[in-house]
Amino acid sequence: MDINNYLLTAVTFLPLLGSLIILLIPKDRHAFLRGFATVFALLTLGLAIFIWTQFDSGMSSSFQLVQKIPWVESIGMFYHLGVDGMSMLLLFLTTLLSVTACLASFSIKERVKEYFSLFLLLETGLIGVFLSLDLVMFYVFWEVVLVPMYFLIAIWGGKKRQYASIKFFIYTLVASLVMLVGILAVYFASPLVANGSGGLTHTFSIVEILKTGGIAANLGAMTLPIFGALLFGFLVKVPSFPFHTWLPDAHVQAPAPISIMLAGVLLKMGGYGIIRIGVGFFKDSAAVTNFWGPVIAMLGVIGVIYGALCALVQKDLKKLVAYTSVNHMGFVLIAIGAYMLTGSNVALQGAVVVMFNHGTTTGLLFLLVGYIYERTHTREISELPGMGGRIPMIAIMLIIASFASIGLPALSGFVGEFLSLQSAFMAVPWWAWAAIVGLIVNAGVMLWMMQRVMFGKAQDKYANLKDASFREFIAAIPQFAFVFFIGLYPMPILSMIANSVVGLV
Amino acid sequence: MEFSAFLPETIVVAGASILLLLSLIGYRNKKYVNGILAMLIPIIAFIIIAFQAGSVSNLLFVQDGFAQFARGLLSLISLPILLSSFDMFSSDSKRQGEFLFLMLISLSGLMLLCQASSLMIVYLAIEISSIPLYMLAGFRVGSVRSKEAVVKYFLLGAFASAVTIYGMSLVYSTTHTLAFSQLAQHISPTLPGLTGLPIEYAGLIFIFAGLFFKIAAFPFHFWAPDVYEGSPPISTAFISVAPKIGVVVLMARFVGFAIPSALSTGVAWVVMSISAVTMTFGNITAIWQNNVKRIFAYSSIAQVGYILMGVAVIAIHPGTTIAKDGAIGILMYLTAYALMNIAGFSIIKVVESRRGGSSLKNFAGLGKTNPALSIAMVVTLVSLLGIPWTAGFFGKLFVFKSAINASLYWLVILAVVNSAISAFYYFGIVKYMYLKEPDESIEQSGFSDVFSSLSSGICSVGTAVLIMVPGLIPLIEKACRVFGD
Repeated sequence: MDINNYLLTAVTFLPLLGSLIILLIPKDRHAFLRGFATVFALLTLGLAIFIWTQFDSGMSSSFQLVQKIPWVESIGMFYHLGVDGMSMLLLFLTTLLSVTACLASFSIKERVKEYFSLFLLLETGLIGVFLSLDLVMFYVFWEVVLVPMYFLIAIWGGKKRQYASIKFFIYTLVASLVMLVGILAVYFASPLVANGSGGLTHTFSIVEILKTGGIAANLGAMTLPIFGALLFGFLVKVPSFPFHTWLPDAHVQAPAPISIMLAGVLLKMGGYGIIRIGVGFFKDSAAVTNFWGPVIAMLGVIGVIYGALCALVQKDLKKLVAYTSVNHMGFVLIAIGAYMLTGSNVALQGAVVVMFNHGTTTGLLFLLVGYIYERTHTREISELPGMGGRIPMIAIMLIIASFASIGLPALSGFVGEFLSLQSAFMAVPWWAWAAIVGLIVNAGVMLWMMQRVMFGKAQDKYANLKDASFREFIAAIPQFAFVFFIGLYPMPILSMIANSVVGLV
Repeated sequence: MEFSAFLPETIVVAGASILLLLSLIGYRNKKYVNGILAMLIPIIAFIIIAFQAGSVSNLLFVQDGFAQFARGLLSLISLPILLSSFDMFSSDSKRQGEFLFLMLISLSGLMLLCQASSLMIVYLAIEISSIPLYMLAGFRVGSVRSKEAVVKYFLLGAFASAVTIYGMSLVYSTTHTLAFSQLAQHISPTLPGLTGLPIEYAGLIFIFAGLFFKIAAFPFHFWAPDVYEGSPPISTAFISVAPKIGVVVLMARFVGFAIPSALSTGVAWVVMSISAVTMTFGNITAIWQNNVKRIFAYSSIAQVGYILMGVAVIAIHPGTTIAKDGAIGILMYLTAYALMNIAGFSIIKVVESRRGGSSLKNFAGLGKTNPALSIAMVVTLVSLLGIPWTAGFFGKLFVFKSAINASLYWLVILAVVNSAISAFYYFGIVKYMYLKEPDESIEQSGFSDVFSSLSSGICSVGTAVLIMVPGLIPLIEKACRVFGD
């Protein structure tokens, strides 16, 4: 028994274990509950870091640390986990942001026990999505995310939380059910493998399907609609225009730590899904490439411009950040569209790096907006002038995070957006030109927001605000480390993506 | 055919009769002694079924793997219902014996139905199971609702039985046989010298109408909401689960073996259409209900729609691996459905006895006052909705998979849309439990709900771990090989 084979199982189910143990802790021991959940989030992060040390980022064309156990062998269903460069990064992002969000959750005062139990359950779902190599498992984890998310918004959210939570739930449920139809159709087009009792069966294994180099030949006339069904499931999660309307509601109503998870990790499920399941499965089909590739990129371009314009007119700080997510995820879609057309490494690197960077910077932005809200109890931008003088540490952090979000060179945002635009130029130049318009508007949005929040004269009632506490500071530091690190020296991550992802898409 | 083939049914009937006699005598701890004896009967039946070779096959009965699985399932799912029924009676109640007797007799009828391969046995088995069901529906003494339920159920049920037997007689009039294997050869799409449609078509339609009534498929569903609401919840648990297992299994066998291949497309279209409208009607109507029992009634109608997809798949491609897929879906879904509905109605029973009703208002704030029960309810609802990791998801997965295999994309898409619609009302209940404040005055001291709580706990845990039961799916697959391999 090689211990490495069990690492991924351990990291997936460690938060679930924590979630179950929390159910046994008396509900009025708030401090203990918080500490306990944080310890589990930290242990999971530690395990993820250990997995990264075991991960060979130079190895191409195969998943690593794979664990594969027959589950329902007769229909080709396996318990099957593995990582490549892309899922390694997203695993790390998930566990990192979970720690941040857990620390930010210390301000939750009601139903603390249920909160942390659901929070850790959410983490297990998210990790599982990125590590599953079996389509049924992938779908199971994908849906497992939904239920805790519903409760986290519905119970601990803002005034319109009931509306926002059920909207989120039904929107994403429709999407994932349509995706399920796509997955089942893919199953019947998958290669035949041994069924464990001498016969052959189709398989849910992502690895086996990728090996065939595409299944469009088996799907025949259904290829385009089936890709569309899968894509719909992922686009709603991204979220891409015109399926993004759940996002502002969910973000504004969700408590700050949950916004961090939502923007930082949940949205990545969509991008990850398109790359892992959409693109790779259909690369033998010129029809898919030529039809859906431009559609994806166009949706990305629209998202970039539309997200920036919507952000421009927002009066609510959190909603503003939410719309910049639509903007940033647009760059992911542009890069994916460019990858489908050109197959260049740059495009794939762009997509994955934007996803990772958006996770850290938007996570930071929501964290800081949450800090401000806890002090002022408002998110109205017009109510918040002069924060630079009142809470300088938080203000400085907000400025850096905003610059990273804009894509200022030497900060992480620049690298991803540069690669994404570069790949767009290689594919269809006007995509890049159009996206640059959105990029400029977004820069204006963030600068104007900073001007209104940082400067001017603060209202008298905010005379005695406390600046960031040690805990709040610690929660933000790791993300800043990545903002600077990737901005200044992106090579390790880029080469990791180039080496260990490209062979698997 | 050996007598031992029917040993399980014999034991159930004999045991039921003994219980009825025992209920007339008074002795210490009577309620518990009788209840435990009643639970032993299906356990013994199950053990015998598990070890039966199961190879009987003649013109009346067929005991293949499919029938064995369904019989085993029926005897197992009666256990949590029997357990819950402890709460219905005071310790010296004379009526407990009657209840147990009726339920077990009905069970024996349904077990027979699972192995019927002749229309005559179908009719007899359905009647054996139905007549006790009518009485079970009326077990809430002194309740007008319960009386309404029993009268409605009885009149409509009798009418449906009459329609069924009329259909059977029409089929017999030209085919001169009632055995499935011979019907497949004798129901002829075209008769020499006949210009119109053959009369057995009408017969088939009447037979299907009667069967659809028994599983409350649209448009034969009208009795279901009133009966489910009026009956005591424990009776409803049985009424909503057991007959569906028996009748759906029978329908699968009927469309798989008794329909000639020239007719299979037509029959499949009938089943598909009924499936489509049933799930849509059930889901849309459920949204407007404000009583949880009625929500569950319409939800059950919708669930039947999903299950019928599997029957339709068998009907389209009888005797192929696709049909086998459909049968696997059916058994998986029925198992999940039984667990979910029994858990649901046991929870409703607890809420009724503690809070005096089962409207949505009575569920307000349950998450605070009774966290364990609420978690059980959430698991049940999430499973009914079909979200992993629950049994309901795997039921849907296998049914949808078989339908995709049969290229019924439109039906799957419709089912998917329906699943999304169902989120409104399933999560409506969740909303009441967790987002509304409890009305403190409403809570009464819980006196008679221990066993229902226990049974709801068992069933919701079962829902959560069903897929991890080792060997379950291989067993189902083996059972379904009769449909084609």
